[in-house]
Amino acid sequence: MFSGGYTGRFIRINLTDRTVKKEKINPEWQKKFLGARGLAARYYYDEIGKETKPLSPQNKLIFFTGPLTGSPGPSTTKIGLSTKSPETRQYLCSNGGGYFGPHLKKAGYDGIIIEGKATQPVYILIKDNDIQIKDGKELWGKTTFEINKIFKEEVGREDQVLSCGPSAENGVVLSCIQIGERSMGRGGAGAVMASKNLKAIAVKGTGEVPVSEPEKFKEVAKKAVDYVKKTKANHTKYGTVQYTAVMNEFGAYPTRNFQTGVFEGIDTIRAEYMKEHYFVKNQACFRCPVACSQLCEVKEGPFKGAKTDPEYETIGTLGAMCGVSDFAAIIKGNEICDELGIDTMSVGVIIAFAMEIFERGYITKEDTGGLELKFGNGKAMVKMIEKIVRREDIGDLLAEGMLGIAEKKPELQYYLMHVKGLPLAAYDPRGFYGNALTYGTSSRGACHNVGGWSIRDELISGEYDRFAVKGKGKLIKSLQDTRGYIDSLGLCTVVRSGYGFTNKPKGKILEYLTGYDFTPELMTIGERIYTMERLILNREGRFRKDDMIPERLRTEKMPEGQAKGHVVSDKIYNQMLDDYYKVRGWDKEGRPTKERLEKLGINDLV
Amino acid sequence: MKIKVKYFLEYARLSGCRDEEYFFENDELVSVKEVFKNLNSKYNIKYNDVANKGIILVNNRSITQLDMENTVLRDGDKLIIMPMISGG
Repeated sequence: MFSGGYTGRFIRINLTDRTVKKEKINPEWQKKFLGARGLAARYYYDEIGKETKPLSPQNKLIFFTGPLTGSPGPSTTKIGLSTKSPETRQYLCSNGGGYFGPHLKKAGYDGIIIEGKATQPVYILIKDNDIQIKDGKELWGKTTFEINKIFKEEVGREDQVLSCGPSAENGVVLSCIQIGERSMGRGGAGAVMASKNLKAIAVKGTGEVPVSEPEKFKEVAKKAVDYVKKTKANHTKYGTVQYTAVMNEFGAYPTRNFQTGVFEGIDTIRAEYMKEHYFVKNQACFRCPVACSQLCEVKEGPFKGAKTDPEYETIGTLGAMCGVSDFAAIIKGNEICDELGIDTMSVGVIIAFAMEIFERGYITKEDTGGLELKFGNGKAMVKMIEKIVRREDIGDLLAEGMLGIAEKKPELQYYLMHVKGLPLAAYDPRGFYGNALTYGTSSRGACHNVGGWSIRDELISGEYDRFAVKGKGKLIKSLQDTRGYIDSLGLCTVVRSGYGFTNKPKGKILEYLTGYDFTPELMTIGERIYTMERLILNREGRFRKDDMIPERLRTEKMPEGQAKGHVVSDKIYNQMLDDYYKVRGWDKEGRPTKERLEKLGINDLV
Repeated sequence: MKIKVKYFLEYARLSGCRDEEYFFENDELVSVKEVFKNLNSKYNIKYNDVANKGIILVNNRSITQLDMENTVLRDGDKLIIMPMISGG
């Protein structure tokens, strides 16, 4: 069916039996679900049951590249993952960049499924046809930075190496997977990896990704590079940090655990300040002309030597969310998170929770091991990350994530800012009502990406008003469906419009790549993937009650800024949710109807 | 009458400041179009450039949800000029 893009096969590794198999992918699945997120979700649907416990040997790590991964176009860097999350105890989709995905494809495989559990720590080495499960006892306990250095020798680059860190080894449910310095950040996939005694996967591929019509492909790819260079200059210059001061101006920049949307310390965490005081150089993922990663270094003070590439979200969650305006502390915190393998976003929001309950007197210095865990204390924020990784003092409770904390301390639930167990991102829905639906209905829990990033459309489209409900159901569905197919291509989202990948996709690059013209079907594929994810969520017991946003956002009026006085009340939120379910063709409990499943060609799944 | 103008990123670079006040001696109200005549001659910030590549807000609302370049500003109003946003 396809003459390029895909290799058509994947590796299945069983760590219990220590077996390696190569399996063919059903081309009907590639046609219907594209790749990466979509394909990983389809395999999850069949292979991970509702009773499967996230940190048990029955859980699986399902990695798939997209057709574009590794192909000769800009930013064809991505690999997708599905697994059951220990943080949310349900379906997780995640993705990462670097060079891992492209090299896996060049080695001859579209994906890897890892199942079972090794009796001792192991690592996996893939070099073209040679796939080995090797003894990893000496690697256990090492940081991801150490792992990167060790395997760089073996395979060529640090970001051809995928690993989990000490945080995952301690069963911290927020633990991430690192790909070099990039992350498959959210949902605790790192903890799943460690629960299988799998420390690292390193890959080197020397082949080339097949392209059906190489000349035509290269022509479109060149146009994409030109377009991206012209339109993404701010991404190169400032990275995602460019939005920090802007979101603060909109009054939707979560500060001190969503107590307000305006951060008074904004001037020392904004893009210009970062560039003037900390910026070292840009870094690029595979074939990327943007190189949005802003490598920063702390040159003096208590965090001297800390080096990392902070993103908008990390600065939001370790910074304003915790009331911290010391950019050096944010860099240090970010570096520790990458090094020890823990999600910067979840950890930031959880520390913000801990700061709030400390300030309100629910916990004391006895619980924090002597730390003055108040908002704005950058040093305490940094030390708290380490305590969570090591499960020290209250870090042990926080390491259980939002759901774990809620179980042990139900009286403090009001201060836990999450949906389905995944902490919110650095946008406040009281400033953009559609953002509430984004968080509430995202397939993996509160996620501004998977849930459909609505800020621009709500701000500038003549069809919407950011402080109104009209049309938000249709808007969020469209954004989610678009993201559904884009996450399944193997492409970095930053460059998507260069290729014609919007909510009205155009162009023939996928036909030039695979021999099949996917373009007219892309939005349907996106909707199909999203709806299939919803079937999984229903199967795992997630319905309307789980699509609720935190009580604080429904009851506390924004105290200041552009969104002053606004609140996404129960009435407003339920109105938007009803509208969304209607547009999606789901019933009032959030279950896809038979009609919609038939229309999408997935009624065979129920 | 007087308005406040706020600049972000490259527009702050072009104007050399993050915010400033504009006085219009003989007017009670002024359109976005007229304000940009000033910005163009002073800083080379052109309306068409910003309208195509950026966002213009009057009192925190995008002019694309108001009256575009004919959107009117009154005494005490705020104009914000920022690059296009795309996120997630």
